[in-house]
Amino acid sequence: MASDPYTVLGVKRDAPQSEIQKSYRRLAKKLHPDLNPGNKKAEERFKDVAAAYDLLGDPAKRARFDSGEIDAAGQERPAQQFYRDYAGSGDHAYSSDAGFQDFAGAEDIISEIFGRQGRSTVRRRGSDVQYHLALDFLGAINGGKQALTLPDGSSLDVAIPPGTRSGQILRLRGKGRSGLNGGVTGDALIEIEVRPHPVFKRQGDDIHVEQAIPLADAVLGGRISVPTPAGPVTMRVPRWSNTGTILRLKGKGVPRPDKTRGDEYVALKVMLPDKPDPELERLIAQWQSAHEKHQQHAAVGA
Amino acid sequence: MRTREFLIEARLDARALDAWIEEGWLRPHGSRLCREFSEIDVARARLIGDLRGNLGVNDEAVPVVLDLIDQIHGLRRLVRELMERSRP
Repeated sequence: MASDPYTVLGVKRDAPQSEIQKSYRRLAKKLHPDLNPGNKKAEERFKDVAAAYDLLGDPAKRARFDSGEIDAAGQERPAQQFYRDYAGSGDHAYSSDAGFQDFAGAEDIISEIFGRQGRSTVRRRGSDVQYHLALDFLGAINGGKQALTLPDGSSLDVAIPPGTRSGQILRLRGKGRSGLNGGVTGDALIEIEVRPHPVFKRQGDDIHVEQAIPLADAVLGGRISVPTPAGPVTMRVPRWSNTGTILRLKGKGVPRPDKTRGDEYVALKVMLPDKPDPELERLIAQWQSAHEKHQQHAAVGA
Repeated sequence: MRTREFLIEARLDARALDAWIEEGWLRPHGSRLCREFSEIDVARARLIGDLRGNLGVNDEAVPVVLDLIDQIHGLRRLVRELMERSRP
């Protein structure tokens, strides 16, 4: 360390001892090599700062330096090995893959890279345990808590995120087998199966339903109540809606992780009244004869 | 290295060592009666010493910092491996 230790620590020559310590600690928090594992410059600056503090942090040494008895040279510390110099290899008891366990589809690569640590004395993460959980259709769409009974009779509370689909795998951290030699416990991987619903069908994030409507609403239009996963809503049926007409209820489908929702598509099915209605029959008969006459006129006119 | 050598290398006393192992901050090989330490244990013990000393980290926060540092090393290792693989 050739430069002036006061400059390195950023303090005045007459700074009290407490200020020198404070300044050193502030710089150490920023520059400690183990808090900057990829930064070579931080290590060099940290060395200078530490050497300066070796000199000025000790009042006796500082006094000798101030009086010119000793100088800043020769204060270089022996090369210290930091934790980062060992931790980078990964082949040790402290290695952690917790930072990327949720990378979808990367399990193969990760286990290949991290599975290489072959020493039996190394702490091993416990293996994951697979479970199967069948959910009601609406429970999967709306989310919530679901108890899963384990083979040993104990129970596990599983948080079902809204919009969960069949085949999805939920990961419960630390609910798998315990690790070897004190290693981290594995995870529970829960494969979800969603049971079908008698009314709702799911396609992607959209819900499809078939909805019966009375003849009068089909002809004249009207308002009807339609079931959605979040509860019934009122929907306007335009006049002259035929069987097979599909109406969209925007945002009434499956919740997505970004808080938006898919849509619900309602396929209309026109229904006659349950029992024959003489009045309706008379009306239709009138309408039909009028309609036929109209057609004959049209044919004659042609 | 054995416990005595480790304590000198790591500038640690036996009581602190027991406490740190109990907390899971240090995980040497071997059993309680015959512990075997390696270079990384020394470096980690010094890091813990730095954290609790001049870096002003309290005992509650030590495992948090250690865990995050270990996660960073895991991520760095993954990135390094992926970069090596993507090289033509």
